[in-house]
Amino acid sequence: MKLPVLSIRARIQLWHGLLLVCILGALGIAAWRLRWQDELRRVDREIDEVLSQMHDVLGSTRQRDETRKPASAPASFAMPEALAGRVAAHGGYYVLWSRFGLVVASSEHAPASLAMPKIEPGASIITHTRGNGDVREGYLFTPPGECLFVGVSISAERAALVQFGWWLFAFGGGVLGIGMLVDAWIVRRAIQPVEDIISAAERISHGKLSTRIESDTTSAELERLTRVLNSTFASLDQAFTQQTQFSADVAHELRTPVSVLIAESQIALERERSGEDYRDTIATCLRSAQRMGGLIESLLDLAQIQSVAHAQHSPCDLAALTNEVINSLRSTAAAQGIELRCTLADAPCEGNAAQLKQVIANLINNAIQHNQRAGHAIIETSLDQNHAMLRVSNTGPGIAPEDLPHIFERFYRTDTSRSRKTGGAGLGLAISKAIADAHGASLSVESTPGVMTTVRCTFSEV
Amino acid sequence: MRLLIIEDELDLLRALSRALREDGYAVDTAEDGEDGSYKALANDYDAIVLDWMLPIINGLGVLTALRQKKRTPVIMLTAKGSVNHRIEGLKAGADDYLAKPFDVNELRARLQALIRRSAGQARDQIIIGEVSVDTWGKNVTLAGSPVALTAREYALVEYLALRRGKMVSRTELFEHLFDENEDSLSNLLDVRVSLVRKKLGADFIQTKRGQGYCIP
Repeated sequence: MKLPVLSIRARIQLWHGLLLVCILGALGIAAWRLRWQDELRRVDREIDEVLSQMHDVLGSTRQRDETRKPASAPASFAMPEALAGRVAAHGGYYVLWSRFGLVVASSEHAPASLAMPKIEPGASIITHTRGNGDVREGYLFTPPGECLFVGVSISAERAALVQFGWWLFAFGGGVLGIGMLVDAWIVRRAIQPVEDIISAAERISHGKLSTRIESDTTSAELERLTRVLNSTFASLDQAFTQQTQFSADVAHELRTPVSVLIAESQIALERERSGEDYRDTIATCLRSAQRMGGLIESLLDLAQIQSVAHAQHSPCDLAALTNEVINSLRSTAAAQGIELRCTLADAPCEGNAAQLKQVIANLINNAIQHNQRAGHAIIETSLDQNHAMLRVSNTGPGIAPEDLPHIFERFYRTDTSRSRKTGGAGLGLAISKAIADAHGASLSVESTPGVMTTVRCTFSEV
Repeated sequence: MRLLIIEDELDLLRALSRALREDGYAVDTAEDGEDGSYKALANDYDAIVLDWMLPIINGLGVLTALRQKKRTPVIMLTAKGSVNHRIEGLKAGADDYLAKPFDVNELRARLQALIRRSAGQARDQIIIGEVSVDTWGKNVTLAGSPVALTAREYALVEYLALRRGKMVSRTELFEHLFDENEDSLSNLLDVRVSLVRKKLGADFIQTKRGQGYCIP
């Protein structure tokens, strides 16, 4: 069965109400019973007193009749006026039976149906409630065997008890009402942070990602929840902003090649042109398309590295990987007139060889592309206090201090180096950084413009 | 009309300069901000097409330097297309703004409008007696019938027509009708003037020896 959806507040209040009703009920019943027992005890005490006084009176009567046969029953029993009045005042009656069951004395109101109770040995005074509960009776057997019997009406006590019951009920109702009001206030206060969280979450779901929960709650759980949610919102917000920025960057980067494509084709189509002109146009369009293709490849690389943090890692040697990369780049370097000076010492590390080679190739390529004419690049690998390290330096124009903090950002190009002749898509260092991060390695740049620019990649301890 | 295109995207630079040369413009080119800034200050261009992101000096820097000395019309052509960038560019002294990717014909139209405005004309049609010059369609009619002019001949007519009644010196004509790669000492200008006179009438362009040319 599916329970109806209730607010936490209503649910807590409902349970608290039920609990309060149970407690009040139990307390009420206990009070009611105690009161009833108390009343009965009082009546019983009265009966006891009357019986023992009657017993005394019977004893003194017996002494007067001492002359007669000791075992005979008292011929008469005179109930003292005061005692008879006392019984009558309670709406009661009395009976005295001889040991043969003959009624020796009785009050006017004694019910006719009353029979002498059976002797119960050892018991002195026995009381019980009889009939429809309106009468409390007690009896006593004397040592010779007579039975003294007293009945008292308890209807007044019963009426008082019913009234007490009603009073308890009203009191309990009042306590319940006040209790629920106080409870509502407490629950409301306790739930308030949750309400805050809900309204903040609602605002966020409406797209206001910068919203944070502001709650001065003092309860540890809610404080934790608030903190956790806020940090979740923050990372969501950041991811979203990054995504937006990324899309804007991509759009921006695609603009230039698309402009070339459109302009070239539009101009070529304007009039009849020579075959060579068409070939030129198509070649330019191809270059633009290839550039867009390269951009897409790089973006996919970057996305993949960032989403799959753990590619297969295996032990490898930075020196050997660097050597491979250098061999493949030697002709590029020679074409640009750049001399590669290598000092490759063993530098064992853990990593994905293909990705590490991509980093090394990016760094060395940068050192070649951003170098001055006939400059040189210094490539070193070493093991420094168990940290494998790669250093690539070049003698290019360098990076201005204000550009240094942004150098690993996607699409960031220093304005001076941003030339189509040397600049790639502006993703090389971003990709290298992503790979280094995935390997727990750090990538840092220092530059003295015009003298030397060094990129350092330091791996964590093997 | 002489234009300067400052653009570091070489393919785009080549395509644009070819298209505009075909339209009869004399086109100079620069691939970075430094070269562009130097050329913009050294010559009197009729308009400059300027990219924002340039090596060495960016487009805003070029514009700021230019505006201290000259009022050459500048149209910015850039991938930075957001409203804020447009405002920034216009504030820095650009006369128009076109975001990449763009339509070549729109660029032509905006360039034409800029040049016409800077010459003080509000209409595309200039009527001189029986001759009508349509600066939009870049054609000329004589007594209602079209006259076949080459792009360079048309450029000469348009330049003088936009400055009707003013004496235009030979130096100025050289500056505005020939680009940096052409030899200004040649007699190309005289040849062109005589060809136009043949097509539009001997009195269409007047010569004042030692002063220059004029369309009365």
